[in-house]
Amino acid sequence: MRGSRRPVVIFQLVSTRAPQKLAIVMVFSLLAGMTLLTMAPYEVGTIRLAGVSLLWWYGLVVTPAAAVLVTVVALLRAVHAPAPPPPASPPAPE
Amino acid sequence: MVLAGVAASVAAGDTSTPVVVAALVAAPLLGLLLTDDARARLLDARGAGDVAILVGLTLLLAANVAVLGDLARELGLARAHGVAAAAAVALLVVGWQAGEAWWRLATPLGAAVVILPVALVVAGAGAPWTTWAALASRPALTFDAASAWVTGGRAIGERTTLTFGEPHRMIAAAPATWRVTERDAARISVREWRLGTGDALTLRPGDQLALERGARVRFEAGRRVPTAAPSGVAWADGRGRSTVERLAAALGILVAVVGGGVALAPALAAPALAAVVVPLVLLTFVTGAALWGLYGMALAPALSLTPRALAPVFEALSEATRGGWRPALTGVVATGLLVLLAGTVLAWRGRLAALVDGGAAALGRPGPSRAVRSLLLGGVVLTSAALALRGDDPWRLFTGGLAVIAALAIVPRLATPAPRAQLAGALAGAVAFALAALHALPWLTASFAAHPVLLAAPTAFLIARLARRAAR
Repeated sequence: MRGSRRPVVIFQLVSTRAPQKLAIVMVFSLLAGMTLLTMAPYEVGTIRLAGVSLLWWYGLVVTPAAAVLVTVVALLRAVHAPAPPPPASPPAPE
Repeated sequence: MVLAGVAASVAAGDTSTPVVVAALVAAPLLGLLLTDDARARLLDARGAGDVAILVGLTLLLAANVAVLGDLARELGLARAHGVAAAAAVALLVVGWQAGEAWWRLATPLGAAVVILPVALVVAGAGAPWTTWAALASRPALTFDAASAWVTGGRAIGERTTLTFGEPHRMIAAAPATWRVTERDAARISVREWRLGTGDALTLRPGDQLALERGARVRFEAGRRVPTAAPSGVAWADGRGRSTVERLAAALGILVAVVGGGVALAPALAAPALAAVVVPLVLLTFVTGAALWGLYGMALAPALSLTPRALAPVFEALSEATRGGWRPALTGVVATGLLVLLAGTVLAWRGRLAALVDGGAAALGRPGPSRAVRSLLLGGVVLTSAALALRGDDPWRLFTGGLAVIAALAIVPRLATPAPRAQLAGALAGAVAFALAALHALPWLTASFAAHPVLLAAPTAFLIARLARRAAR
C-alpha cells in the first residue's frame, strides 16, 4: 500500500447486478450438472433413490426448484438494493 | 405447448425428459435474470437476427395452434376446427387491444385451470414418487382389462404399423381390411385379411399389422401395448440410446430451449411481487405438466396408441374420473387451454410488435399505425395457422422455432456486437441449419438432423467472429 499511487479503497464498490450475474452462473451450473449426469459412466443416472432414478430427481425436482430459489433470491436482492448514486455534476462556475 | 410437450415427453419415457423439464424452467428464469445491458445487447430489435426471430415466433405460434388442433381431435372434432378456433383466439388478442387488462390475466388463469385438475388425479392415484416407482418396476406395460381398447374397442388416430413382440389376439371392432406382414425365418409374406365386426386375428411375435386411420380395433387384456416401452424399467431408463446420442439430444435441447427461451422472457414490470410470483407459477406449471405425463402413462399405458399432443392429459383424466365428472373436467381443461393460448398470444404479440417497431426504426421510418400493425400481426397469425394445418408434430415446430431464434439471432449477438458480422454469422448459421435439418451432409449423424441447432449455433458463432476479425 505504502508508496502506491492507487487510492486506498475501504469499501469496495459492488455492482447491484452482481446477484443476478451469480444467479445466472448458478443456473447454468445446474444445467451443466444435468448434462454430465446424462452421460455419466456406468449409467449413474439410473440409480434409484427412494424408488426414483437420480436423473429424474435431478431434472424434475432439484434443478427446477434450485433454479427458482436462486432466481427469486437474486431478483429480490436486486429489487431491494440501494439505488446507485446519481452521477457527480461538475462544480458550478463561480 | 409446454404442457403438451412435457406431458408427452414424460409419458414416452424419453431419455431427454429430465433435460427438457430442467431447460423449460431454466430458460425463462435466465431471461428474467438478464441485466439491462445484456437484455439490450441480446434482445433489442436490429439486423439479421430479427428475421430469425420472426421465423421463430411464427413456428412457436404454429406449435401452439397445432396443439389446439389436436385438442379438437381429442374432443371428437376435426383438426381444422381446433386450428380455426385457435386462430380466432389469436386474432382476437392481436386485434382487440382494449381488452389488454383481461388478456394479462389469461396466462395465470389458464395455467391454474389446466393444472389444478391434476391434483384430483394425484389424490386418487397416489404420490408422484410412488406412482413413478410402481410404473418403473412393472415387468411389462400391458392393456388393462377395463381399458376401452379392450372392452369396446377404439379407433386408431393415425395410419400406423404395429409390431408385436408376443402372440396377440386382436378383434376388429368395425369391418375393415388388415394388412399383416409375417416374418418367417425363410421369407417375408404380406397377407390381407377382410374382417367383419367381432372377427379375431392372432398375430405372432415379429408380425407387423398396418392399420388405416380410423380403424376400430380391440386388443387382448394383459398383453403388451405394441407401441409402448416393453417394460417399466425401459420406460424409466430410456430405450437403447448410446452415450453420444444422449449427449447430442441433451445439448440440442439445452441450446435451443435456453437460447430461444431467453429471447422470449419478458422484463418484469412490478419487480418485488413479480420476482416471487412469476418463477413460482412457472415451476408449478412445468411440474404440473410433468405430472400429467406421469399419471397418463401410469393409468393408461395404451395412450401411446393415440399420438396426439394432449393424449396424456385426457387419458389420465378419463381413467381417474368417473360418471358426470369426466365430461365436466374435460370441458374445464379444454377451456383452460384456450385461455392459456390467449395469454401466450399476448406475450407473442408484444415480442412481435417490438420487432415491427424495431424494423421500422432501422429503416428510418416511424412505427406503423395501430391498424397497420394489427394487419401485419394478423398475417403472421394466419401463416402460423396454415403451418399448423399441415399436421406437423407440434413439439418439432416448437423446438424448431426456439432453435432458429437461438442459433440465428442470439448466438451471433453473443459472438460480436458488429451488425455486419452478425449478419454473416446468421446467414452461415441458416445454411448450416438447413443442411443439417435436410440431412444433406452424409458425414453428419442422425442426431444433427434431429437437432440442427448443434451444427447451426457453432457455425453462426465462428463465422460471426471471423467476419468481425476480417473487418478490422
